[in-house]
Amino acid sequence: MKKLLLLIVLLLLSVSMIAAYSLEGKAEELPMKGVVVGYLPGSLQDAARVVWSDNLEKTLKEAGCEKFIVIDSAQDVTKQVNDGEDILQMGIDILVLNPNDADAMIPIVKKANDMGIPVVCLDRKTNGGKVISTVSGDNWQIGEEAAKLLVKLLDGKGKVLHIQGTLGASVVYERGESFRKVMENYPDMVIIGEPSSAYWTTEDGRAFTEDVLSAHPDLDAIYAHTDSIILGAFLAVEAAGKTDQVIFCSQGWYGEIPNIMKEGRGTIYDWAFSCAAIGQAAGDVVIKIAQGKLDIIPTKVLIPCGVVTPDNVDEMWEKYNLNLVE
Amino acid sequence: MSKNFGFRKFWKNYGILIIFCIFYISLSFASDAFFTKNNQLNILRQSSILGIISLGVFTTLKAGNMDLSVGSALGFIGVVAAKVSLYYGTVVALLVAFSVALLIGLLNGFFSTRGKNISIIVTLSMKFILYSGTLVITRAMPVTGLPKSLIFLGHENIGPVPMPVIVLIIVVIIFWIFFSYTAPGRRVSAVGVSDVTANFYGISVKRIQIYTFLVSALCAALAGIIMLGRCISGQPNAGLGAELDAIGAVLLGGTSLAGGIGTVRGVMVGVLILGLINNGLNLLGISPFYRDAAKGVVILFAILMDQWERKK
Amino acid sequence: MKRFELKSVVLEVKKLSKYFGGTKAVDGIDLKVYEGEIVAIVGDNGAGKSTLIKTISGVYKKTGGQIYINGKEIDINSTLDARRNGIETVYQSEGTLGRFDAPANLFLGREKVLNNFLGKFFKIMDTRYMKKETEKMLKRIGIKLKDLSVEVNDLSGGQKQSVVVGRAVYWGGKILIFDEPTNNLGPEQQRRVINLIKRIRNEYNMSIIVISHNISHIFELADRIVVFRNGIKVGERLKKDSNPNEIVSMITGAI
Repeated sequence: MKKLLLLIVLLLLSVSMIAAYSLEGKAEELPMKGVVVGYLPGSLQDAARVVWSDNLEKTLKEAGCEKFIVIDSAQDVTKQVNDGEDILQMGIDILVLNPNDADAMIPIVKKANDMGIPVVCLDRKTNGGKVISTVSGDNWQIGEEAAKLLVKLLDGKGKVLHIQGTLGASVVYERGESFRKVMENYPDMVIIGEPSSAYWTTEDGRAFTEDVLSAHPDLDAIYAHTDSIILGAFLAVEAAGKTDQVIFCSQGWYGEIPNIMKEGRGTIYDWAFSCAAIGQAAGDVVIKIAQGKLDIIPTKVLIPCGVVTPDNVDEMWEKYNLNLVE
Repeated sequence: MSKNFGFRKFWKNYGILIIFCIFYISLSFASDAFFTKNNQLNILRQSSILGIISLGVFTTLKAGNMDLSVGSALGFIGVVAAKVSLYYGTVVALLVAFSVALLIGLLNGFFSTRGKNISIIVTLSMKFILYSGTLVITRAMPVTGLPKSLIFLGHENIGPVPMPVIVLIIVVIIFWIFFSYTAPGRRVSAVGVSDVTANFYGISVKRIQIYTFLVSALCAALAGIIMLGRCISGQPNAGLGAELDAIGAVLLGGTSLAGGIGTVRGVMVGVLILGLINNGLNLLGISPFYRDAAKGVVILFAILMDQWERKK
Repeated sequence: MKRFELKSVVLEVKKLSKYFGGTKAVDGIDLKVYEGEIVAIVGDNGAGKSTLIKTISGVYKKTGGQIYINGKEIDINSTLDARRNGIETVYQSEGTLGRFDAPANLFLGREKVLNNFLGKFFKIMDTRYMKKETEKMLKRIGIKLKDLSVEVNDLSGGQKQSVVVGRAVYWGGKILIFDEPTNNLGPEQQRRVINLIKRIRNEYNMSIIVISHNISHIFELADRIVVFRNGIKVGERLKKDSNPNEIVSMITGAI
């Protein structure tokens, strides 16, 4: 009897030791355990944002984050400021911010600074306050490369329509300004108009293009800040029978654009972020902060875009296609 | 009194037409491209969606209510129809769109008639709920690969005339006949002018008001289907903010916020003026910073005209 | 009295009461209105005249008693019920849709549609018919409108009132009730209203109840005068058997 008892006790001891060991080991592998992360997405209303938000969450959860608070402001600048004040009172340790407006969120960032809460910016930056790091796709790259490509394809001479997204968003500024800066160097490259679509809609892209084609039937190229807009522009050009004449440059790689490119219906160049990579990179930055490794975090993490051209559509199909995201 | 009276009456009936002509003529001078056949068709084509939902909003205003959910309803019904069409084809998709529109109209109508002047709040809430629904259904992604028959209404032409324009013309004629020549149309206006009096004379005010919301939702559905054709996909942001343009157009056209007063032709003139503004801004390459200002000035002017007219 | 006994009773109320909580606004009223008769109801403020009228015309629901039309007891729960039974009240400026024209007002809620397929299926209105009928109707009660398509808002007070009256008469009203019809009107307009009421009675043999403060108008119009005080009927006189002084005394309670 005593031997049996001893055996059982030994067994129990070893089991608990193993358990303790593995639990402790897991704890070491879970740097986000007990860390509360607050996330203010600018909106969850387009595919790109949904993808990187999902990936951010996934990365954090895999690292053991149990409390991930999200307050969505649906592109509303004022609401996001209010949401910021609320979320800072909810006991968060780290704030991830995708600002709707680069200036409006400065007070929130400053408040977070005062409260000792580190701030990471995702996709868009703020113009003030102390931010540990800004993780974004390289918007500047898009405008620059698109402009340079058009200069090359049009031999430095041509008429371009530049359709922007919501004015005031930093991505719009970056994608637009980078484009303009290159164009300035080529006086024969004329930007004949820069309308903006308040909600990045296809209908706006279509209406703008229809009208512009009336005024400029010899339009050479259209550059839009996202695929939903360029889709409308493309449909207008296709309806006017000018798909041989117009070159399209855009960003996104979702919706009907991948299909249209696969069918070869037009000359389209599409810059694509890996939104998954952006989300993940942001998550990695947050984890590093939680681990106290502040010194090795760069102030700017830029995830480069791939560019889908009429020639490499098949190769790129899987790589960046947001349509294939569940 | 008679001099003032005559001018006021003239302005009431024809003032907006004069403004329209002023815009039209100025634009022909400002841009060579304005007067081309293509451009004229463009203006009409782009005005069709706004025109149809404006007539829906107009109908609710005629009975003394306001439907602010039309933009989001357009988007919601569009994406629902899009998603359904991927699995069950166009016919089922259209039936579903029709039913969803009826449901939205009934809900708007029922709740708006539970009290006085609460249609703004009710339809505003509906707007947010519908937009939420749109995001949930689409997960913020456009719905692609739609069957050709579904996008027919928005995408194709019959001869040189775009389908949306044909649909718009048919809808305008129907509404015009309804309000000018039919008994139910007259009763809708009666309800809007004085629901007390209308009730007094045996007109079921609540029922008529609910019907107007049904009409508005059905207009949104039709516009939503056309939009599917315009974008060959179900866009989650389709129609956002359209209700503001619709109200602007309706007010421009002389419809009163007080209820009952307004004509179909007034609404169409308002729609076309907004269309002219957008077209002009695009043709002249004017900075987008001024677009909203231009619209705002025109709509403010329209509201002031409405107030002045009411002071009679 | 003999002359009236030969005529039929259009409206009769027996022991009609209307209480508002503890207040007995109208208490146990018996009243008969004969065919083709103009009955004036007079009394001071708060005497119950208005309440009686509103109970008969369906604005209020009676607390007790019975109402009979042409000998048949009826239930009046709404103004619609009252109107269906031929009881119409004419207010001074209400009752019309100002933005619509006279024919539209006359046919409000009962618009005439075309006799053909267009009318039956699409409910397209027969505006020519309605215009003609309105013209006929108004002429018969002594009103001539130059332009029938004018908004009612742009008509004179008297013309407006005749549209309402015309409406009541046209649709087979049996009893017309006028609540203070000459209040706030200038003398010429007052004359017109008085003539209108007389004409309706004469042309259509309608029964009319008039509430008024104006004793001289009463004596001009009424065949019979009923006096109210504190919710009960304190007296009833044929005009020809009475005089203004007597009526005033009954109102104030001197008698």
